[in-house]
Amino acid sequence: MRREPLLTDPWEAELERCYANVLRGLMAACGSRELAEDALQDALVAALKPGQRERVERVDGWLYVVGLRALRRGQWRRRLERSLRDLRGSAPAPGVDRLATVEMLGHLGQRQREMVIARYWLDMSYREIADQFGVGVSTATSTVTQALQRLRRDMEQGRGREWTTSR
Amino acid sequence: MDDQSLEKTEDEFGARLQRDLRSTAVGSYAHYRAGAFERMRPQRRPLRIAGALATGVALVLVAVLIGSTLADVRRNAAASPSPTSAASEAPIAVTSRPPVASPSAPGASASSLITYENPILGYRISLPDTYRRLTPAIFFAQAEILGRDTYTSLTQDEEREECLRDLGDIPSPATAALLFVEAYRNVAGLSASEWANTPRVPGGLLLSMHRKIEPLTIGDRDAVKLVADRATAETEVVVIRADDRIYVITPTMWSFPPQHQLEDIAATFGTVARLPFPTPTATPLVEARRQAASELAAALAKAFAARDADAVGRLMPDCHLGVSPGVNLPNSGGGGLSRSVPLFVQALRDRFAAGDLTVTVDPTLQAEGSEGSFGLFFFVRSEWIEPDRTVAIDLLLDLRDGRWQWVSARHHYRQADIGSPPCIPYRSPWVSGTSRC
Repeated sequence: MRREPLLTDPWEAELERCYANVLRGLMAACGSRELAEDALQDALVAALKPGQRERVERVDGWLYVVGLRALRRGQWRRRLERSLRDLRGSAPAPGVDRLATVEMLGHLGQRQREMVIARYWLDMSYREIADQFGVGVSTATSTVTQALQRLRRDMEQGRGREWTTSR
Repeated sequence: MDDQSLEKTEDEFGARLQRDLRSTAVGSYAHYRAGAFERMRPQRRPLRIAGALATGVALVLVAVLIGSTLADVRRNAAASPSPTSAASEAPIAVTSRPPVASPSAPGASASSLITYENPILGYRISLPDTYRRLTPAIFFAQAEILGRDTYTSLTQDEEREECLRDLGDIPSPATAALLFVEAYRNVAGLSASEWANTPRVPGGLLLSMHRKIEPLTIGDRDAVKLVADRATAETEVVVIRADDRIYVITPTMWSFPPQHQLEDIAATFGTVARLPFPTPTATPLVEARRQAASELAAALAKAFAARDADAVGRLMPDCHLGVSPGVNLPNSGGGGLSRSVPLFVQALRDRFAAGDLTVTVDPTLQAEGSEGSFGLFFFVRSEWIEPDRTVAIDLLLDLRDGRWQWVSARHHYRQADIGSPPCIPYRSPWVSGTSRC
């Protein structure tokens, strides 16, 4: 199959560079490959709109937060209403729900989970998290700290004993 | 909790998160990007079944598009020249007379191109002989769109392989292989460029969104090509104005990277003498449909009662069966499958042989939706009894390609069955192997 180069456009090159990590972060946030992929595509719709690139400083953080919003909006229902060509076969998430870390993240509150992923997966600073999530730096810091405390308790209580990789 | 403990958590959890997520495979950027562009496109394809049917029904429609429809070409090739369908307010797609294929084509050797004609839509086009014609469609009761011919570059062997696997997140080769030629009434007398810049429905997205409109020479006709608004600048759509109609040549957006030589194909476009646009036949009486569905329901009940997987298979589509969990997942839903029918039948046969699955079907026909349109659909209720659980499943019945079939299954899991993180507890025969949960 012939493959056209996509990297000649710097913006698209940046999207291509970071999309995989953003997608994995979204998977970790929602525990579902399908929903995460759905959200990523919505985020890419926003990213590929003309003029968007001028307003984004950190592409992966921006894409991640836009994807989180898409997750919340409940994209799936709308998808059912779209035309046939939008509807694709889907399969249960292969493996994401079996990741021990994802399971532990599931014990956190939604905002905690989202910020922990931003911090420890996307390696965003608290300032960057605060900017992307629209909160103060202190809020971002305290949210992540509380999440860590919860994770520590879970680990000490044995919930995280069986660390596994994906199937 | 002291700082040292938190730092330790940071280190441990961060490292494990990195390790776990790095090991999670993802698709190519091109795949997701193509999906994003697909969502930017205007909605032009009418749904045959109105309303929000279960996910499984929708997925089966896709399967019809890329699977069983392909398989039924052989049947349709011999179909009556007169379209038959129901008159309805709802969009209706029916099989029309297949375009006429001839071995000659202008500007190319006879051995490499095949010319297809569709006198109802009023056009001809020449395609490389690697393409095949699929079921044409005529749309009644539509203001603009008249019909659509679908071509595929998928071989019949590839088509058979397609039926032997479940459809997943990645668009199948069958989908990417499709090429559409659509005919529209040019009701406003627009130029090709104006037409591409006008939404088909008020407020709809433009065909030209994220694409540049560039002039194209196709004989002496007014035509434009829509080129991707990015560095690769591939031609994604060709719009041709011919007499009082607009013709649109386009692959699906799953066709990425581009698989069709769109401009070369468009260059062979021409018009042919038109046949009168057909008049839809009378709506099949709801009662007649109900009777046909009842007969299918009874046959299904009998086949399951006899534990005869092959008999069940004969009442199903050729390629894929839609499956939905019937429960919303956190963040709103998901979990549909498009299950390979041959795999399903084999797995069902195995389960029956093992003796650990009993299926009871209540043949009493159930109906949902509005009568008098395609919003009405039929189903029967069933129970799938295993040693440790019983799952209620609705079996949706529909008329496809002239045959009433069991086309989709709507499981009734409870929210508690899904768990957290969510996992839909499908088991064989719905999935291959053991449960994914």
